[in-house]
Amino acid sequence: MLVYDTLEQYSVNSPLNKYNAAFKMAVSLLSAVFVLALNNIAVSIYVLVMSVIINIAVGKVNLRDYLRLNGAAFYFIIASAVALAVDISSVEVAERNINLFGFYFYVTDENIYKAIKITLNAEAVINAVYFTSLSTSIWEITDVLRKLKVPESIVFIIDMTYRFIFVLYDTYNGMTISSKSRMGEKNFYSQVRSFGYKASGLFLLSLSKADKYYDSLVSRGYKGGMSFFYEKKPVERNLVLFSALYFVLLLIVFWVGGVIGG
Amino acid sequence: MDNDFLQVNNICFAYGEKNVLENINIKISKGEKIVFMGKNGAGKSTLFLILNGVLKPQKGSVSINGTEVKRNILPQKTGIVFQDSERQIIAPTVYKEVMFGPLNMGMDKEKAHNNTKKAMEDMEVWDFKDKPPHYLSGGERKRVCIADIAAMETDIMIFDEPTSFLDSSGSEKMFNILESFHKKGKTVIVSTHDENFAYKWADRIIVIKNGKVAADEKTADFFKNKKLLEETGINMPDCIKMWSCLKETGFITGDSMPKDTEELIDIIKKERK
Repeated sequence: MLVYDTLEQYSVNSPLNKYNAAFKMAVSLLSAVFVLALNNIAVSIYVLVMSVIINIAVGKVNLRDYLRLNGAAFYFIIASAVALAVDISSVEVAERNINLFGFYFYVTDENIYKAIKITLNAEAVINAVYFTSLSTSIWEITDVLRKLKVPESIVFIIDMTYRFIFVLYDTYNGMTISSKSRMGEKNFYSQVRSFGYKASGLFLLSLSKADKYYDSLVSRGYKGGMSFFYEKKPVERNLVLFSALYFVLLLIVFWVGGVIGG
Repeated sequence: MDNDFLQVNNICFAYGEKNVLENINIKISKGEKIVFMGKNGAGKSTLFLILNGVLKPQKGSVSINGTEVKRNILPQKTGIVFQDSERQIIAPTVYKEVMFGPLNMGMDKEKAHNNTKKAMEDMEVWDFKDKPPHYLSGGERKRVCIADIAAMETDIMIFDEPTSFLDSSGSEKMFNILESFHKKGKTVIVSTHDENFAYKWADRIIVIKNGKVAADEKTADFFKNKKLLEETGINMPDCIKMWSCLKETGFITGDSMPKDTEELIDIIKKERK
């Protein structure tokens, strides 16, 4: 959950926050599309390195926070890569293998290459998307979704979920302190029971809060649409030029990568 | 009174680099009624969490009856009622909520049930036993939180701002609840911003300011001391303000300070007959 706190803080305080949200989203998504469509290791490395540089050097994200943000996804990606790289067979089919419980766990060059490629693709896409999420507040993102004519109900759910996840997290923390104060976290058994209580308690609390928030919305003229104030941020010329250069370089990297890779 | 019942010995606590409590030393007698006052963020709630064993101080210890008590044992000795009932209540029904503490303490089911039932009846929440606590009113939820701790039968009961979110009749009810625990021999510790409540209820006032004990006085001595009130930023209770004014203008002459407005009215009636 600290991840969400960090995202929220950076998205509001980032030096990149002053730029147009739609443009930043477009750059992020286009980078992700290039990575996935071109499926080229050189392009993935280029997008990954550029995203890390922009996020840390320009976006002023603390390196430790950045690694922590990447951490959760990284473990899943590595687990998937291992699953891709290692095959199982009942007969010995490759030189590099381990015999365990009568099965051969083996890796081939082709599988390793595939795993590396997918890992880099995934990391590149994640870091490209972090460019938007670490520099753009969720309200600006949902505003862009509205302009893209994403159904209002979906945008509303995104808005509300993001808004109240912090409230619920804070309440969850309070509940954990309360549970500790009554010895509810003293051993595994009590922790499991406490977690069950906290989960069901939070669910009921969410339901009761939902009613109160709905009343609060209606009392201030809510008729099904959320209208917040958004500061207008025009697309700056320098940003367009920099982005154009970034994508031109990306295509050059793709071409060079293709030439070198044959 | 045994002045060494609960001892806070040289407690220091910091959140990261921010010092919250610095060398706190307090001695509390058994059965004493203590009010902690001080601005928000002064460190009162942090001290309470240390007394309850939730937080571990960087330095210092908590002793009960002269013996240092380990952190994991403290919840059996000191129960805490949190300020915000939404953050305290965790279980899906009122009964399960109140049973939670006794069961964690290792009570057998029958004793836990009996304690729970008694505490809930005392707090007038037994009728809601199968209801989800989050759907109760603010006052009812507060009483469930108190039943949580009452069922654990701890000798020391801590109430973090018990009168916040309560209307005047709720505050009056809270006063009576605190009194009932005191009469049962419990040591009751309360934090509040309400000087009228503190003056009327407490034996002793402890003011925490910037993580330090800024005052530790008997209630009447504290509220009579204008200089100390000014230094600690605590207001004089309304009834003393009025009493002082009436005395200065010669409207009344007696020296006994009233405990509340009702008592002041009685004094006026008696003197001006």
